[in-house]
Amino acid sequence: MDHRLFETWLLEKPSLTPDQRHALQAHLRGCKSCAALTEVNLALQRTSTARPAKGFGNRFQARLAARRVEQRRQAVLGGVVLVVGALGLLAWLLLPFWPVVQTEPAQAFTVWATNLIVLFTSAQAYGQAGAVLLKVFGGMVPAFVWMILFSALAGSATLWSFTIWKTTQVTRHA
Amino acid sequence: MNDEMAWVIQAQCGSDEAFTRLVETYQNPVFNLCYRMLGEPELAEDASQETFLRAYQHIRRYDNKRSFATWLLSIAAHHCIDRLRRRRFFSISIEDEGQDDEGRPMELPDTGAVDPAQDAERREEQRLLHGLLAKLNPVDRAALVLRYWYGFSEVEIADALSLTVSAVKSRLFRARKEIGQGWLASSAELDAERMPYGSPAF
Repeated sequence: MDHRLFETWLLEKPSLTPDQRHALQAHLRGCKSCAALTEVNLALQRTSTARPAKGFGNRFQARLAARRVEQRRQAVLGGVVLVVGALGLLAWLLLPFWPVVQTEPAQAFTVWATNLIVLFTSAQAYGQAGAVLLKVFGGMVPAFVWMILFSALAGSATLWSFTIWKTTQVTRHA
Repeated sequence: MNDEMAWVIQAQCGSDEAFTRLVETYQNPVFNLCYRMLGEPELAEDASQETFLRAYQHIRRYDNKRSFATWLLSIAAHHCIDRLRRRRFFSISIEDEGQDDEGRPMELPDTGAVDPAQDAERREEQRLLHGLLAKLNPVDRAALVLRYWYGFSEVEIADALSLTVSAVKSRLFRARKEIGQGWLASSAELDAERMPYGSPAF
């Protein structure tokens, strides 16, 4: 019989008939490679267990306490950085309005109202310009280009959602 | 409900004492797995401590329907595989490490060995096996360790290592074959060392 068949028997360990077992024994007497596999199987079945040095539980408690202290320190540091960052951002955003704050209340109200009117007027103007451009160029673009564009957008949205789901999925082992 | 399940539930409710019981119960299996995976006692100690810390942090996520041992050993195996991959990335070989007798962890006495000569032979056998394990791919090594040291079935190994059963079978097949080839080569070297001036004809 072929050497590979015996090797497969030794590696996969199927249940063998008495005839197959005799054939395997005969093969093992002449084949060093298969004899080594048998020795490995026996050695693996006689494996011993390594154990840690005494006091493992105490060392774990010490490490757990150190980890807690470290996490608390990181949380405090993170909070401080967050608060300082938020205050800095707020100051930076409010800086342009500082002269307004220093003016009279009536004058400040006028400035705010003017700004709001400018904002709404600009939005309206941009909206109208967009509508005109869409009307002019929309008819020039063939229907299949729109289909391709929307398909690409839908595909990107699906890929984005799938990526978010995959990256936030909790692994089973921890 | 057995003691272990009671400790797990108490630990999930925040009892440090219950978790300490679990650490005491599982310190040997977890350490042994890490030692077989990483090959060095210091690294195994660090990896086992980290395994218990991760288990402590994620114990609320543990599904009580699964075996706690499988869950814990799965964390240990994944942690060791990650370490070995990082180590390979930094091109540090462990092939020659862990061969020294100094600093080796205490091994449980071999009850099968009856006389000192046989005991020495077994120790030599285990040392050889340890060296050959270190040469395997990390996932193959984890599969083999879970199979032989913990008696896990192929389904349990697949569950612990997040693999399919057929992938486990092929990994075990490949790992046994690689170890067999290494064993044969080492035996030939040993024979050559034992009779340096001898002729193969005698």
